[in-house]
Amino acid sequence: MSFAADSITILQKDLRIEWRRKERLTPMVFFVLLVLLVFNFSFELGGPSVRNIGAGVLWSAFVFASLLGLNRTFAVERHNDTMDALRLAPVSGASLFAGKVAGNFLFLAAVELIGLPIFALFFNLAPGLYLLPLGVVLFLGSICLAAVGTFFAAVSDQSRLQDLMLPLLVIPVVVPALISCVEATDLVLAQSGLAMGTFKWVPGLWRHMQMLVVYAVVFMTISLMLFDYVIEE
Amino acid sequence: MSESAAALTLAKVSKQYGAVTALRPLSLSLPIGAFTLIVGPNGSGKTTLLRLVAGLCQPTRGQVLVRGKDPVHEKRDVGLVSHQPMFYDDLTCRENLLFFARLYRVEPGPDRVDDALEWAGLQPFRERPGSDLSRGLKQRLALARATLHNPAVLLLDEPFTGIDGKGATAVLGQLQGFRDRGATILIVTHHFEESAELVDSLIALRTSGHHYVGPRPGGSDADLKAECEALLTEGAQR
Amino acid sequence: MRSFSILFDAIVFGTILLALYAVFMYVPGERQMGAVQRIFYFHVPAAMTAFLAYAFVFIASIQYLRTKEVRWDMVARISAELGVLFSIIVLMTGPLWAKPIWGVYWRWEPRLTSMLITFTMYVAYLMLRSYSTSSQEGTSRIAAVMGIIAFINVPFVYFSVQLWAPEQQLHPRSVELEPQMVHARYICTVAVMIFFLYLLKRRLEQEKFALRLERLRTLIGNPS
Repeated sequence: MSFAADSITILQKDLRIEWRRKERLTPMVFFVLLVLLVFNFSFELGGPSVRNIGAGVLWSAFVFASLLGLNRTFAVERHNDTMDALRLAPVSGASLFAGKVAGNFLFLAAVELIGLPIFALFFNLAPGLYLLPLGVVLFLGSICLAAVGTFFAAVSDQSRLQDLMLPLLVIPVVVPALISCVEATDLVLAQSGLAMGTFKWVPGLWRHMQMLVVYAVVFMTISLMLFDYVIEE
Repeated sequence: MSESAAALTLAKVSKQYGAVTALRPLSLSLPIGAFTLIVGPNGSGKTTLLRLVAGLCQPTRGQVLVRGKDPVHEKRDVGLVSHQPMFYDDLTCRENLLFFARLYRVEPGPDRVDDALEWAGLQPFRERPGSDLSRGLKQRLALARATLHNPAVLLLDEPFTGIDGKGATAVLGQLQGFRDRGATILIVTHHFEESAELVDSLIALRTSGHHYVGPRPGGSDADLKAECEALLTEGAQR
Repeated sequence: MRSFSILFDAIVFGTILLALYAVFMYVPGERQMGAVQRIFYFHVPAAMTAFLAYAFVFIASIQYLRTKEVRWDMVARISAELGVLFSIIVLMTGPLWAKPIWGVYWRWEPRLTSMLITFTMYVAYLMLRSYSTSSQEGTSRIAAVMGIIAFINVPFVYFSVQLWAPEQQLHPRSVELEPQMVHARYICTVAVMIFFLYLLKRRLEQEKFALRLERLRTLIGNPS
């Protein structure tokens, strides 16, 4: 299937370039640390407040960090006009979009993988079975964030405001997914204090995960259909 | 000649960007193997014309056909070399070409890429990143990228800018080889001396809209520069 | 066409007068809330009209992408502006009503929060248009894409905010209304929506004139 093949070609190209430049992952991770630091001076992170605000702090840090990284999605294509080369090639807009979303998803996942232990450190969280559902929530949330962020990265590229336009577009649109991410994380973290091998399934968790799946599917579908209009000249 | 026998056909093609006219209506039909020079003052639509033929934008009116097909949808028949190199600075020459080979489904990828590097004289630099190359070498890589998939029509926008005489000769050699393999070439340049031998037809774009399309008025021995200047002054007087 | 236009304007004017009469003279005062309750007759229709406007943006955006005709782009832009205008009316009349009744200007309860988020999406839409570096056609295309996505996101916003704070629901779900109040509500809803259509019509005329003027200017400026 040429759609899958093209998407993978573009993904591999982006991963290779990022591996050489290392200009997205490191700053993003460092930014997560700094945001958590700032939050610490606003609220006391280590104590009982993890019950109330832990989920919000975690997702705020990830969203802000990811906005930084998402801005660079199409920057690599502006240099040397490679975007024109991609438009010239028999690559559909949908494949380009899918490849870029996959790349951004991997970046976000990497940031979360490194950021989560830092978060656990500041919040004095002990490891436990709750990490599994937490992983699922992070996974689903990252897909939503990657899809919305990649789409609007292409849109904001054409704006005079450039980097500044991206958060203005992404945040209002991603709020539904964000709400479910925070609520689900809240439900999961509520169980972090329990004994290590236990996890009690809460029905609300399932509802939020369903919401995230529906959101991701709907948004990816619409974006794949509309992306050609965004990159057209 | 029938539309599919012609390499490139334009039927009253024009391009407007809002209130600005980028290209006034132009019609032409170029045979296979033509080596056409495009000249015109600033704003007459040279770059716009190349982009329309490449399928990068759609005409406001009229139709563009490359080998009888719409270049916006059928992308394999066109190759473009423009001002910008259009390859990735962080990838090596070989990686860049492999990337495009995969997108264009050039088979077998690695072999064809090695051939292209050889033909462009880039073998010694195959593992060097794009950013390491001099301007002349960058242009050769850009040309290799544009010809990798053997397009029927090759478009070049000021390919000799910033290149010394030796580099220009090398590029022209590549172009001749390409034309000999059956491609049609459209080139925008004011390096008349270098290209004089190869050019067999002219497109003179005029802001008035009375474009000239046809063979060289003076024949292949005449002074190309003088011919072009004559065509442009004549157009300006209308 | 002109006579139809005058007739339409007259109908709009008449309906608004009728609505004002209904709200300030016809309707009895509400027992618990007093005079301030009358804002309700404009607050709710304004919210409905904002969504009507956003629906116009959605349809016009789709049509623009399909046909590339400038008039659809005009309708989309103007409807977005009007939608934002009516949203501001909702967001301002809400607190005015809330302070005497709930005691606070603002609560993060589902309907207001959803309205606020939707409002920010369409403000972002307008900013996309203002700060674009593309050609006119490029800007219209990008805006159309945003117009489609924003509207599709509206049900998600409402659903997820509801999921977030169902206990915060302070808006009365169903209210018992005297028959006169019901009449007044219908009249006001029609009045506000028809007012929206009136504004849309006038703005469209204005934009068309501006476009003609621009084309005339270009013709004079560039003799061919």
